[in-house]
Amino acid sequence: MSAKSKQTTWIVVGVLALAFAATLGKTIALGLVEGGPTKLLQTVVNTVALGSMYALTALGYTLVYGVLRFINFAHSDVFTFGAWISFAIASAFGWAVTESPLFAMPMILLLAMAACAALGVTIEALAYRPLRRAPRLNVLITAIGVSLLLQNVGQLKFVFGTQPQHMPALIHDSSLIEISGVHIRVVDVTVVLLAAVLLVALEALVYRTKLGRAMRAVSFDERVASLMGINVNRIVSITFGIGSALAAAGGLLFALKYESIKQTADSTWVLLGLKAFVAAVVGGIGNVRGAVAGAVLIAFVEMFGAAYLSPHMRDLYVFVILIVVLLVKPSGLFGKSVVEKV
Amino acid sequence: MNLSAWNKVLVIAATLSAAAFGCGKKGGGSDAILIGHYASLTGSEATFGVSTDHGVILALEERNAAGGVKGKKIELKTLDDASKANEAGSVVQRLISEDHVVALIGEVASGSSLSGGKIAQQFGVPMISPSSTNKKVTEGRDMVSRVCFLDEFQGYVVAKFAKDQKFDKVAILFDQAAPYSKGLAESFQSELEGLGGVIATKQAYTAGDADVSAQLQSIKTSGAQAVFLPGYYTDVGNIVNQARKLGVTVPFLGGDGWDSSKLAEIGGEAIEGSYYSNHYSFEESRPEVQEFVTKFQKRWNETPDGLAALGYDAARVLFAAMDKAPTLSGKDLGAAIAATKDFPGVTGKITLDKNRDAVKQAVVVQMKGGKPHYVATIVPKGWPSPATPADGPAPTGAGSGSGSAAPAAGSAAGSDAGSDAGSAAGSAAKK
Amino acid sequence: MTTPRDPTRLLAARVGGFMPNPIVTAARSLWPLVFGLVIAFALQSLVAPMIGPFYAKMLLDIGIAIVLASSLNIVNGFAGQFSIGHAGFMMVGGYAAALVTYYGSIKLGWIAPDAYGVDVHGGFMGSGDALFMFACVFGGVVAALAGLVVGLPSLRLRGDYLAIVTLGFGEIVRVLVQQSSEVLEPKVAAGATLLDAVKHIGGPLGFTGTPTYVSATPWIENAAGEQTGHAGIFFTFMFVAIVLIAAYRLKSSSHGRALLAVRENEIAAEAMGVNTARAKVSAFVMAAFFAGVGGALFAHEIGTTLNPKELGFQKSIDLVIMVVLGGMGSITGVVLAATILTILPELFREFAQYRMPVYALALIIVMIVRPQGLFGIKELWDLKVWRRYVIPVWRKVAGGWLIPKQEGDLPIAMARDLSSERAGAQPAVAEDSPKAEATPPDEDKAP
Repeated sequence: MSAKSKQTTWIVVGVLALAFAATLGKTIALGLVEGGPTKLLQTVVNTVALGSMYALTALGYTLVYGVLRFINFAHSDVFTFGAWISFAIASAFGWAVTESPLFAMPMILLLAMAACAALGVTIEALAYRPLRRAPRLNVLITAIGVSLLLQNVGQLKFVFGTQPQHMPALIHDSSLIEISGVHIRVVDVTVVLLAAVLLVALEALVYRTKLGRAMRAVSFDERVASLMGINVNRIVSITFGIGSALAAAGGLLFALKYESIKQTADSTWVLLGLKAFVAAVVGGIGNVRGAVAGAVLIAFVEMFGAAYLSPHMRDLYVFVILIVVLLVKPSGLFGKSVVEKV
Repeated sequence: MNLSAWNKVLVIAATLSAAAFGCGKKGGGSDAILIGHYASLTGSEATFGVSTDHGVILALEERNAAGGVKGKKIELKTLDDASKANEAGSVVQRLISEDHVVALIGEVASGSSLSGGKIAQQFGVPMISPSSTNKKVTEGRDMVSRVCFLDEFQGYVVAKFAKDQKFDKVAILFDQAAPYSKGLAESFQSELEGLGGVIATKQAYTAGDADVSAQLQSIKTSGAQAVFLPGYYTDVGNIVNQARKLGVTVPFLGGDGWDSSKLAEIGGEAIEGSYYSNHYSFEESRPEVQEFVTKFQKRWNETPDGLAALGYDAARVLFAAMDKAPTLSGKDLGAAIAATKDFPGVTGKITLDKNRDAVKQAVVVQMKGGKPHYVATIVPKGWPSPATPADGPAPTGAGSGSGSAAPAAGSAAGSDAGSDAGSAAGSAAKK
Repeated sequence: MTTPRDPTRLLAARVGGFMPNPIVTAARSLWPLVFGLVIAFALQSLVAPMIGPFYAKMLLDIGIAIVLASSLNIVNGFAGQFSIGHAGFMMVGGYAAALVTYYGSIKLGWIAPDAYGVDVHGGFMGSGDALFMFACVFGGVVAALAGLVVGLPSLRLRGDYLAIVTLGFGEIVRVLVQQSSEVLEPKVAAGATLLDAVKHIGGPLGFTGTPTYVSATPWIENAAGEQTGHAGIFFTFMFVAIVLIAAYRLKSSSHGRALLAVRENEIAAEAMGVNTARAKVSAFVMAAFFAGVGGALFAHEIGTTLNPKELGFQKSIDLVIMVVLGGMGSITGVVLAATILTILPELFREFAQYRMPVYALALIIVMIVRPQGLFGIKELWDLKVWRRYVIPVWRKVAGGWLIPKQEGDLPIAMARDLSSERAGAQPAVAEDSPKAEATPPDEDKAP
């Protein structure tokens, strides 16, 4: 492509983008005036709550990608299993009918995280480790296979079944504060707080500990890392464990927030995983902070788009933002652009 | 690369495949009547497919225990289509030309029934869809019939009910990826506007969107008096919960997709006071209903949802037609099914019209105390009103004495008292 | 020989002697297509009645899967541009073609006034088939335009990021199609404008009422005495032949070599003078074209519904699995994988709820046991099995017919013949020298 034609293309794109932005701005401004401050505030609250949910899931994608450079399509299914395992524990204790004690929530959180970490480590050892040297596309297909397997095994009658279930209310979801008709609820606050805590812990783990250094080393160059005496398999296992545990936390919070969980092959999980993944990519995959920023951006686009533009095109906004971000900054908002060498 | 090992793998695979296909052909002894059921046993619609399959199996076992049809046992072959309309086509082709089934039952999703119905029609094998509500499913296909409502009718039912309840300004929140939901939303909108009502706002979600708070927020600000939420119970509980948390206090209205014991479980308190139209109400005291619910619980250890009831009815309509048909050839059986009249189904008296669509009256129920309670009966346009049950097709049991299509708030309140004793409920409406 | 060796004259003589008769050249380069058509016709008229309607339908599914997977192989396998939104192209092509046949048939007055859908019009190779074939090509062209649009980001993005953009494209197409309204009934459609038609393509239910040109059983009559099908197998395998020949010729052309170079190392390819931007975009356009054709076939197949839900992400992934399982860039491998992966779920169907878990397990195990796919990057005839067992047997049976004189592999040698014919048209003598025959083709060197 010659420089001149490139310039023309960019001018055309720019003009189109400006026109689009103007229309968009007008619609949103009108919507803001019409909806008033209550709607705006509520939408902001919704954005933060949904963004935290995406962030927890996106972290798992980004961690695995950071270390192994492949998209773990089975991650959203681990998330699903997290939700279902939480449900199974809660109903095993009979908290579906009786009031749950205060320690129920942290206990289930820990148990579910441990169970999912074990699941993640097992998946990695059985399905991904044999393919460490294979092309990444193969690992990707294997991940899809694992995802299919988890979805369909979860559906079996003696596992979780095909009926949706009601998640017992482990924390009383009352309204904490009310600002001009907008309620800020306990579960939403829990989701945001837990997401924040886990994020900070993860940051600390990755940048402040020896283990984190080892993880970054493996991410940087697996072979050199192993030459330096790092047990690569162990690090990868741990990474999977951490990612899966985060997914379990996300799954539990999801079940608490929406109070019901659908069967494991339902499109809810697929779409949630897809959007969380998009969030990780938009933020710059492999980057912890980027994943969170991406999650909030995606939630923002979805919520504001649905509230002020048209709810019919909600998914469209997500993917349009994805494409726009990648075209402007090919490695995502926070991603490092890697210079390819010969 | 070890080629000889690879060869062995190929040979084994080939042997296996030959064996598997061979097994497929053996099914169905010569002295049994084989019917086929194609259903979503796996995949995103598995919840509904498995329920329907349970209903069909129950009907079959019951019938075989009673001696089968024409002195022969009936055999059922259920094949999975993985919730994909395009696999449904292959499955139907397989059931017809490999297993030589005499009739087919399926599917829940209209898209799958359209795929399968096309093949059933071309090969002249009768097919009964338990719960595909789109009108295109049976259009121009004389082998295809169904035992459920059409979207058009149900949209009318809910719109009429809403108008009678003085809900003049109704918001719609529908699943734009589900033909069922979209069809209902469209017919509801045109019927309500025809009756003089107003659509406050029309919002959409996609079944995968767990979070619909943005849409609900718009509904809240629109000033609607009720929200029409056509969707399946799997989504409804979650959405209504969110709505209540956002401060949407108006009642929700729904269609037969709501029908499940899970609805109250998932929806909890949030769903209380909402209405939905249904084929029947499982608290009805009609013997068919009570018997079915008891048997189903005994067999499957769960409460049947509406789809299980429809699967059960589809199978029984088929068996009844088999009794009546002179032979089991596609032509005779198809004609016998199309001639179904006043069949006492669990989901109401089923009569097939000239398009082989079930014409039934609908009941509207309200969720109270974790159970649906009968509120009103609404008959198809052109039927005499249920006030005169003597002429015209008999209305479903529970509704027969209620007197008017207009819902009596009193009857709902009255039945509230009886809600503890499951079968005694709906007393106000009972004859 | 006493004639002095005058290189100029020698060259002129050789070129002159090689000046092809255009008709002969065309006939020669068309023979694979003719051969393909004969096979397609044989499948339709001989094989299909023998195997019965169910297997005939499966044959249709396999054919369409081959078209789609081979098209993806061009961009994924040859050019190495990882695309996971291929079903988007399929959807674009399918809807474009369905628009042509459905609304076109109505506008042409081919329907009964009270019809609910559109039926197949005319007999085999009649006017209806002409419209259908036009629709397939039209679907392909529209999809190719979409391919151009999606291909452009590939200039800026690499690897996974490009994959994600293609995924975004597939999802955007899906959401847009979902917004449309139900298909207009024939009565109404007769007076509809083009814009009306485009707005009414079925929404979430899918494009209903399309004529089923791709159905398998014209030899069976139902109770009403109507044919239960049309010569769909012939049309499907006609397109299979076209896509395979196109893929094969592309792979052995200089353009295809450029794609392979881009796949192996983009920077090195650029350094060698390959216009990588052009190569990548053209791979997308070609792949999209054939995906569109596949979508068009799919739209008219019996027992399918063209709906946005099922042509989403999952379908794209199914296609990627076919390409990876077959071996990236191996044409015959992908054909085999498409066949296996169409049959496999059907095999397991008896397992009911255990079917998908078993399928998933099989997928994982195959990926672990054979990460390079069935054939790796080789073709069928490069495999030792083929050389060791098939060629000698063939030699015994057919006495060396179609086997080149040199010990080598059969179709590549044939292709070299063909390419030398083409080379002859625009004289490039070196290619024609017998020495070239002796050098092994590049595929042999593959690991």
